[in-house]
Amino acid sequence: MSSKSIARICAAAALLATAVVGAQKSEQDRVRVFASLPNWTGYWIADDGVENALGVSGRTENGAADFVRMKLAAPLPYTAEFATKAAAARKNSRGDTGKECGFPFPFMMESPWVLQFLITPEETDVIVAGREIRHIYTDGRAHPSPDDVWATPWGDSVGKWEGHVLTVDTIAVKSGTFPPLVSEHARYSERIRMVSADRMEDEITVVDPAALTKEWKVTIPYQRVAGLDRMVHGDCNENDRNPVVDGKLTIAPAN
Amino acid sequence: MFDYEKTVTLVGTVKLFQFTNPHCWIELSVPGEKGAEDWSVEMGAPLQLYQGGWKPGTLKPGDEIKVVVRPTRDGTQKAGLFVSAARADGTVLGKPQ
Repeated sequence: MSSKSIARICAAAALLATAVVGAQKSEQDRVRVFASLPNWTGYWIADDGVENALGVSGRTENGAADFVRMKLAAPLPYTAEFATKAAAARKNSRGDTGKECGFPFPFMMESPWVLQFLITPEETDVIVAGREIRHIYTDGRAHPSPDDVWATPWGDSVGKWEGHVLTVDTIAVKSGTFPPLVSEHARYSERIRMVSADRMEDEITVVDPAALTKEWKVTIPYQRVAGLDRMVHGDCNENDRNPVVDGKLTIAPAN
Repeated sequence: MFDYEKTVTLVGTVKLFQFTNPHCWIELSVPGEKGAEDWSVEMGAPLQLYQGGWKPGTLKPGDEIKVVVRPTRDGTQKAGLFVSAARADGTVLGKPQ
């Protein structure tokens, strides 16, 4: 073997060793970051989640009207112009025959369903029993550029950890009919934290000059759900036996 | 759809228990003067039942149960919204609410 060949092999081996050490260091760093993150395991439900009142019967006398009890349905400091739009959107909302096929952000954070926080160093995912999911990226990335972001029901979220508080910035939330009714230009800042062993809270600040005269702040408290050993997901289509006939909910026979 | 001012107590035999989304259902055969009537009892989502102590195996066809329901407002359908249920021996189904 020539001395040149030996030199090449040595150089390749050195590169490989550097890469392995780098990967090990990176993995150790990741484990160290993981260990520093809080433990929010378990299942949680917003105090105002109407699920608490539904019980095994699954329905309440007031139906959708119960949403007015929610903190996210509180009156907003609307501009005069947007107040008219919001009133129209409310008028066109689900009514008594509406069906839940998933909730948008931020409503999903106070929905009737339980939710779970899945924390990794790279992202924290909020998984809701209705199968809604939010990806909050904590890997240092920014939002996509304005040209490359599009509005969705859950928006685009990036976050960072301040100790055991997850701060989140969310944009590009599609405007819909679930409260709070604001524009797609709204920016949501959150501070999500555990306040005691069985309590969490999400402080949400909404800034939306297109709809609000000033920032609007709400804090959603959560309680740990006792006695639930697995996530039980919802699905509005599996066996829907409440078809709407002549504008009224009815009951279809069993298949 | 349901009359929240009224309750009806049904005593019958389980024909089918659907542990399904978006809602769970009990199909019940209820003996009457003119023969057996089939009732559909609507319950909540599997999550709500699971939290309430119900599982897919809680009821099986042939089980004798007593169910309290809120009947439909117009009474045209033999159906009701679940309130509570117990086995023939009085054992309450699910966790106390």
